[in-house]
Amino acid sequence: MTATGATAKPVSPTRRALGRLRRNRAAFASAVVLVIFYLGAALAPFFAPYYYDDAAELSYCPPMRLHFVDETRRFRLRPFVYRCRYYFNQNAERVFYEDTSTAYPLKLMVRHGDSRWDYRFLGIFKTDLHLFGVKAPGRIYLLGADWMGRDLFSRILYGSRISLTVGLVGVAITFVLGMLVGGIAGYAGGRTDSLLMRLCEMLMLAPGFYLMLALRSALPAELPSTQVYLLIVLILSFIGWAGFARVVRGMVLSIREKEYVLSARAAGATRWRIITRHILPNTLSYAIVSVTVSIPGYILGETGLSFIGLGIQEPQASWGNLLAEAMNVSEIRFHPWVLWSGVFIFLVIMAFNFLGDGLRDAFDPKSLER
Amino acid sequence: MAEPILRANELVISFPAEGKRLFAACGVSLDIDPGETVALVGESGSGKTVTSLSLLNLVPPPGRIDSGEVIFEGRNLLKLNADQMRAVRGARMAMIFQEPMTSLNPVFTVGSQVVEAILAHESVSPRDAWQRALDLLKRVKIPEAAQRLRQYPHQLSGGMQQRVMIAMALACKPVLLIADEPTTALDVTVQAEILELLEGLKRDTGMSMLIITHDLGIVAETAERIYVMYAGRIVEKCSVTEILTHPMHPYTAGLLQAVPSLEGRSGKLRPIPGTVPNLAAVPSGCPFHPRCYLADSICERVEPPLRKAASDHWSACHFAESVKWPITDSSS
Repeated sequence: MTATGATAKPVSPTRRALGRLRRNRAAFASAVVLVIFYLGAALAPFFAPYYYDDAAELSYCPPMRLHFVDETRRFRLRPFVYRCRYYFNQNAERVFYEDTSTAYPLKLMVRHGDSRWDYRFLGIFKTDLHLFGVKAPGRIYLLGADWMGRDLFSRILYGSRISLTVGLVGVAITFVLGMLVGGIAGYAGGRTDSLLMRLCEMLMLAPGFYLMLALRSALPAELPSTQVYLLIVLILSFIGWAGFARVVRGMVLSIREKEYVLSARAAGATRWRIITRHILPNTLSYAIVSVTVSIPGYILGETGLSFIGLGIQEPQASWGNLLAEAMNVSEIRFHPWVLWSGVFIFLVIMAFNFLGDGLRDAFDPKSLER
Repeated sequence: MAEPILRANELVISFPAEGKRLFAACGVSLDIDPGETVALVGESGSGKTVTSLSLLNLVPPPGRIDSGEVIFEGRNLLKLNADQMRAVRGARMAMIFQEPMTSLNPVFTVGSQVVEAILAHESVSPRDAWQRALDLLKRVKIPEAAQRLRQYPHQLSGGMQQRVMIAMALACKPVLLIADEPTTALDVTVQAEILELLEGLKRDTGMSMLIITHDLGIVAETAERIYVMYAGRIVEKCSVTEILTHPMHPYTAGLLQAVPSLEGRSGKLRPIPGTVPNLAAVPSGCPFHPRCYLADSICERVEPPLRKAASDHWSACHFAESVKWPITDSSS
């Protein structure tokens, strides 16, 4: 307990909850992982050695090893990769091998000098600086290449920009919509309440993924990628807000009976102000948790749509359509590295779930603090 | 006599229940003069809280005001639209509640809530509003006010919280303050402080006060006039000195009898037999007759009107003149 004396430093409930959160190791580690991922997404063009659409003739080149010791057994401080070559075996399959005669040392802060691949750093200034790379014509494939010889690592980084933000943007829309509808329904009650809640129930009735498919197929298939992105976000939040609104409404029903709401009314506060200032903030601790827990659903929704080809289209990358390459068993057998995006999806989903759990425990007033 | 600042006429307030309507107030009239403190007294369930809420048109749904009027500053509040009503609440007529700990929003600091009370009715800069909040807290005698403003309600004691509530109620200088059991949830010593504070503030501002309470001790200390309520009806109204010496309703006499005294008053401390009637089964005739020691056959049949029984003393009892106090043991 904090001291009640006037000299005690006021500790906001949020602050205290965050303190509890920090002590939860799994949640804290998850938060760190997520920060790294989102940083990666924000700075994708910089971290990625190649543009997502930068194809080469090395189709399905396997992940390359970084070497420190060269063929003369000399240790080099600067890691390097060998040139990747291939031949066709008797089954007409490509067999890749490292050409030890040509080594490409890894360079930091490289420029390709090709204006095709310029990007805007954080959307501010134009540059073609990359964190690392090798000198052309050498190529570096840390996680292997896809069928067009595009660097999977770069594509995963670029894909994360879509897959990771879909969750946040979708959840933001859901949050605003759910709070608003739940708040109004709960506070107004009566007919407004029934009307809004029946609407929510109708949305919740339809199985989510099918509703998503139906919505997507009802809309034109050939769209510019930014519009597809927006569409997916809208579809996802359109499906997601109903459940959230219902729970918010339930909480509002109990909070509106509190005396401070009555006293706010007696003080002449407007309805809007009572809902937004007195009622909804009291649902916030729940709402934040609920929203965090639901982010994975959005990520999986986008991934699912893209996986079956209704979401982000080639050549744009998203974790879903990257994974779509692994749809075929023979693909997995011969080039297992196409599964990498699945690993990232797994990590992010796990991280969000751990974080959500941690947040829930941290904000739960019943959780004991020693 | 000056025009009363508030006059409630024949208020009828009902709640629906199992197809019927239960009347929480049936024909309650009261008036409050400028600068006057009026007490509304009654047991739990007598309808005093609902009556006070109706003055601000805040009867909680599904309850509703069926008829009557509330004339405040020349307007019938029950005829105002939502915006006009909102402009009255807090600005002209403010209210404080029984439970200070639940009347403050737990997620905001005290300061932001006082500031909000100011900003709800006046457009001043946030900086000025904060300064005014500070002044208000000082006025309700909260020590270290500047620091308190930054604290959350749970960091304050009950008495401090009630002071904050009072500060918020006074934020826009209302002419009438309704205090619904302002001290019930507080310790006795704190009660005295709060009452003293209210008294002082009333003197300074010249506002009127309506104190709702079941504690006749508070009435004796603060109020000038009293309304006694029973089963949704005003059963007696008169000045406080009058009621303490010559109650003219057996119910009031019973209430007085139930107050412990240090002065060795004759007559035992004894409760009124029975309980407040359930609203679904209000007795016929005088609603108090099953518990009344004066009850006669007429009481079961005819509901007594509130009538002038003495100068400036109204009572709703057929036998107002025969009410004796202290109640002697021979009567039962």
